[in-house]
Amino acid sequence: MRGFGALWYTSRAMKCELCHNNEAAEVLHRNENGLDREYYVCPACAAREKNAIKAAARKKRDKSRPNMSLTIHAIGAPVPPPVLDALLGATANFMGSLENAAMGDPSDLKCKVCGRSWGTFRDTGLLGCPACYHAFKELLEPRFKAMQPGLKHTGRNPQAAYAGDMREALEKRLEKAVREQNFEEAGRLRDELAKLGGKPGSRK
Amino acid sequence: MRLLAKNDAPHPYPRLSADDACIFSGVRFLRNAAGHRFISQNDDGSAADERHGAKKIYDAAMSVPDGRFSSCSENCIKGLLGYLLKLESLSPVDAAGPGVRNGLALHARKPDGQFLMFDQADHSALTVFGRGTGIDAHFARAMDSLDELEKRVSFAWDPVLGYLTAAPDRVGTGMEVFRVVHLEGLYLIGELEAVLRSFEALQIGVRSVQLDGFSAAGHVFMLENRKTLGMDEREILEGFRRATDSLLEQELNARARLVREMPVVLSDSVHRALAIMRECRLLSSAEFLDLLGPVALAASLGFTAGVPYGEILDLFIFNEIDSAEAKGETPEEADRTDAKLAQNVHRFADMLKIVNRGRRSLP
Repeated sequence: MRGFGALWYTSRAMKCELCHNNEAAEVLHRNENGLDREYYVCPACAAREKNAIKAAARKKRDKSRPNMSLTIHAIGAPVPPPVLDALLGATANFMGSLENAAMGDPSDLKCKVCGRSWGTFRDTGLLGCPACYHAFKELLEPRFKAMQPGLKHTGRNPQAAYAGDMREALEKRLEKAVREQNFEEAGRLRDELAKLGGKPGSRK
Repeated sequence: MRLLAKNDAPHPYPRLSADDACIFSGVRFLRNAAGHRFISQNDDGSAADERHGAKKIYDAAMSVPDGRFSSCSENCIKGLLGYLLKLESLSPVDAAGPGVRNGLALHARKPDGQFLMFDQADHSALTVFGRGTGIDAHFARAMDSLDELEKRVSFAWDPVLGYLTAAPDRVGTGMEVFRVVHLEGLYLIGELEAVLRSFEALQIGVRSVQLDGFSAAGHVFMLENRKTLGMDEREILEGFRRATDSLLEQELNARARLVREMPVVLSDSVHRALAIMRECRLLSSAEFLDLLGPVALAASLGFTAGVPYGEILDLFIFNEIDSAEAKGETPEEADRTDAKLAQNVHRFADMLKIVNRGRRSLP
């Protein structure tokens, strides 16, 4: 059974190696000038270190990559294989450099409606408002291409509910028109139903 | 090491079903009101003027007739689960505790055990879920409720990108379909990591419900779709179901294999876990979930009595792992919390008995 003993030990006894105050909960790997060092740190220190490295990396991106890498995982969690880690890092750097080459440093690019910057989005993963999708269109598109099977929405749409109700009403009127042998009206209703799309009696 | 008893007997537990390894499943649709910000904070951390349109969606939900949505003062997923399952767990979560926002639309409908929930940090989510693997019923109900809502409120929408969400990786359908699964069998036969890695290749997200990566406490994982754009809702649902059904089948095969070929491994895990549960004096939630894993596995195979299997699975949901620091507890307070959990766990372990299943028994 996986080490609940180890978990117990770390959660009880291990202090953060940076602040020496809080309980260590994460392992921080630093590659400092070619030497791999491992620190057991509290979540607050882990977040601070991560942000500091990110900020330094962003500042230096145009000049050179910093000679320091950082990975954080929970104590007890398997460390990702170094090759995979390196590959992911290289891909991220490559994407970052492509991004910079295309846009200059886009960190300061802002949405005019809500004021959210690309830099903030990169840190939080969250856009501020619908207009952000247009403001950051060029930057978001490569992400969609990498993650999604298509670039166009093919599912449900906001008119579906309205169309469903509309279709139901039209179908009733069509039935009535056919029953009353009012074929002119029936033809018109059929055309209207065709305009709504979808299958009879269905809601997409 | 001659611990494994070879036995070519047929599957000993024909009644074992995928629902035994799936704690709950559901469908979620992320939506934001059109013309509103997605999130409630400005970049500098100050509060935005409006609360990301959640109120608008709430009002729309309130105006749906037939009481499908009703106001509720508790908007906490774990509190709702308590309401849903009516379970007195070992560590009930106070739904009115810190961080809970009040006054937003949701409704738990007891007979079919599903509910709808709104308002999260950066979106409103219509969530329908319940016990077991049945995602189709949840999907149908969610679509039906979306139809009602969309007659009353406009969601942020783009003709090309579909429904717009704060997180761009959910743009398009804004749909998340998920299953929370217990994979103790695969863990004990040593195939868990390989199976989960193959899942990531299928673009199915694997999240541990507690802790990180593949080291989830109790080996409980949440599987969810990653693709939301370029496929319609039904395609997403079908793809996810195919992939996760195969995983659940592997888990059931692993459980059967444990009984047939590795009964000592199974027995050791269960007895060791129960022994610690009975004798511990301090028990953290994370450790408890680790101990609960093999016990739940034994229960699914019919080797336990005294506590219904469903209630054992519920314990996975009700125990949240927060470090003492995250909860703002001093070491003394953390010890008191752990001591209280240990006492409750003693009662649970005393109620639970290991029994024989037909001619089978745990050695």
